[in-house]
Amino acid sequence: MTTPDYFNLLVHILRMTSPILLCALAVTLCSKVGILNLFTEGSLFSSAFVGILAYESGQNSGLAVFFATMAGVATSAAVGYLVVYQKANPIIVSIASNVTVAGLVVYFSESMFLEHTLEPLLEDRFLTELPLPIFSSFTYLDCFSYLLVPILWIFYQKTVLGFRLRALGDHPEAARSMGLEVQNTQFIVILCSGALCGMGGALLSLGSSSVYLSDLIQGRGYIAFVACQLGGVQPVGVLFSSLFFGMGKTWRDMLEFASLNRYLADIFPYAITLLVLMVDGKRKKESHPF
Amino acid sequence: MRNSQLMINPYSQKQPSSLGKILTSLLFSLILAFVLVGLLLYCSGERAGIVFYDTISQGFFVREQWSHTIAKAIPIVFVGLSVSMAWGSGYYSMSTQGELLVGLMASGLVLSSNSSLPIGVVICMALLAGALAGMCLSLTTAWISHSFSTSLLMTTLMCNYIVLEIGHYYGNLYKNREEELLFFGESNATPLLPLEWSVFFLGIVTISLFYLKSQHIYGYHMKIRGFNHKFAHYGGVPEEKTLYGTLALSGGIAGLGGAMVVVIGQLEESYQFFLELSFSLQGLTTGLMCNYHPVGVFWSGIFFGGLSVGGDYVTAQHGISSSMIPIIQGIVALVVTTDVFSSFEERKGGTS
Repeated sequence: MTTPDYFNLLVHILRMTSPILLCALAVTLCSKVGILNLFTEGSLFSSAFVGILAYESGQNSGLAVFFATMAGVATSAAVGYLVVYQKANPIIVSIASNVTVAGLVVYFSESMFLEHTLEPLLEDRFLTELPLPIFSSFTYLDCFSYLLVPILWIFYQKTVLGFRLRALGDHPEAARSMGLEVQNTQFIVILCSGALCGMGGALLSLGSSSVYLSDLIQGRGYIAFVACQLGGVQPVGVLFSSLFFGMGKTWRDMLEFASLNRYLADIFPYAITLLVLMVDGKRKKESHPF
Repeated sequence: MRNSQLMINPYSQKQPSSLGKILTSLLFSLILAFVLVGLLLYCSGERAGIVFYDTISQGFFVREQWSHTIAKAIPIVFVGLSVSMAWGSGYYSMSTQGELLVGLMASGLVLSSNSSLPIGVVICMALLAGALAGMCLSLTTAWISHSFSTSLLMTTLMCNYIVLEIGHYYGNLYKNREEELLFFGESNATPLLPLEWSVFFLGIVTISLFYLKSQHIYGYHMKIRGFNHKFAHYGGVPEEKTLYGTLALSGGIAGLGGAMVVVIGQLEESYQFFLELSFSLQGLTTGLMCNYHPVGVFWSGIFFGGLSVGGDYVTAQHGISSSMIPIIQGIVALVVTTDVFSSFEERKGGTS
């Protein structure tokens, strides 16, 4: 493998990682305020669909990304309302909403004949015009996803608001006694996480894939949830765990060209995740036996 | 009151409800779901009344389609029952689809390698193998979660993905190479078990689970654990025994569902469908929408099996996407979960 090949591989891994990273960071935001976010899958579906629809209507990729982000926000707002204000079980509501949104997307995409594939739209448009020679295929959304990691780290570790949000997740009653509007804050954080998922959906539908809409998401929302837990609900940890899944997806793509069956290759990231979870769990158990 | 309950355990279940209340709530949510989907169809320029009439009549009132309805409903009911056991006890297992798949593979292996034995023995062996395979997978996830203190949700999700990929692998072999047809054997050529028997069997499983949940001390432990795990802990419910027992039961039911699909000869038609994540979610929502009541799961599974058959007919006749069925399921599950109907009743009675 020559040097440029290594760079291409690196860029490919980074691009495969960025949608997962955006969603995993969205899950992290919610986890920090004590909300279990399993509805990223639904947000990804809706934003991917709206992104394509908006692009078909306006032929403007910037506008398409904006509308996709708004779709992610709207989906998260609906679920967030039920979870935060109606006190519904977050796991059940998330799964039910994921089923509903996926069904709606398939219904609309089939009735609007949007199931045919689109070429990656961001490749030659304003979002990809990065003035870096090696990362020329890198979109601004990809860059944003990686920049978000240090930004969020600084936000949670060095700012008062970040500290308050962490306190809210750790002990909501204590945060309420300090005058923090617990429910409203949780809801706003859910909206922000929806925006991140929306960008992830836009990246998937417009930026890096040209597959059938119904096959586009492939459980990435659930993978993002796992990446967040694996990364210890910390932005830097989440970056590494997302990279791990991105590498797994890249490795799968590479193995498709090799002799190994792609489905067997797909097992690798999940098996390793399980192993890491077990080692991590064992370590925590030994360090805190009681 | 509601807030204080949630402070104890944010993921606690609702109070165990009577069957009548569950069915009323389900009816209300179904009407709401049909109204919303009707609006959706109307906005798309379709005649919603005709679409619903065709869906319902083909799924439930055309005699020739009943066998399809039952065949579609069987795996949904089994997965729904499996979910109702695990989730109703507060164990959020996401591997029911994987358990059904391993059950399906195990029974397929038994059937293809024991063709010389009497048919009754082979069926029993296949069903047993399916249940055991599902149970093994479920117990493995329980062991990992318990021994290594990992989240059960994540452990089961990962195991489910692994089994799905293995299923895809075998599915591809099954589709591409003639010699691999032997993997699922001649079992698919002719149904080994008539559908009537499979419904009878399903009814027995449902009634047994209903008895277990409502009358047996172990069912009480499961229910209390689902309602509030801290209360269950302080009330002396054995945690380890309940975890392993519940997940073994849940996995066994899902595995049995997989085996049942093979013995009623529906595998070839449905195999690819079982590999889709949407199947897992359909099974989950069937369990969720009945508040984990086994009898409710049975009827809602049959109902969604019928809707699924009707949906296929509508797709063929009117060109309308059959995805309206998962939409209905999702809306019903959302409405039931958020307890909109109860809130309405409370407001009407002025008790909230």
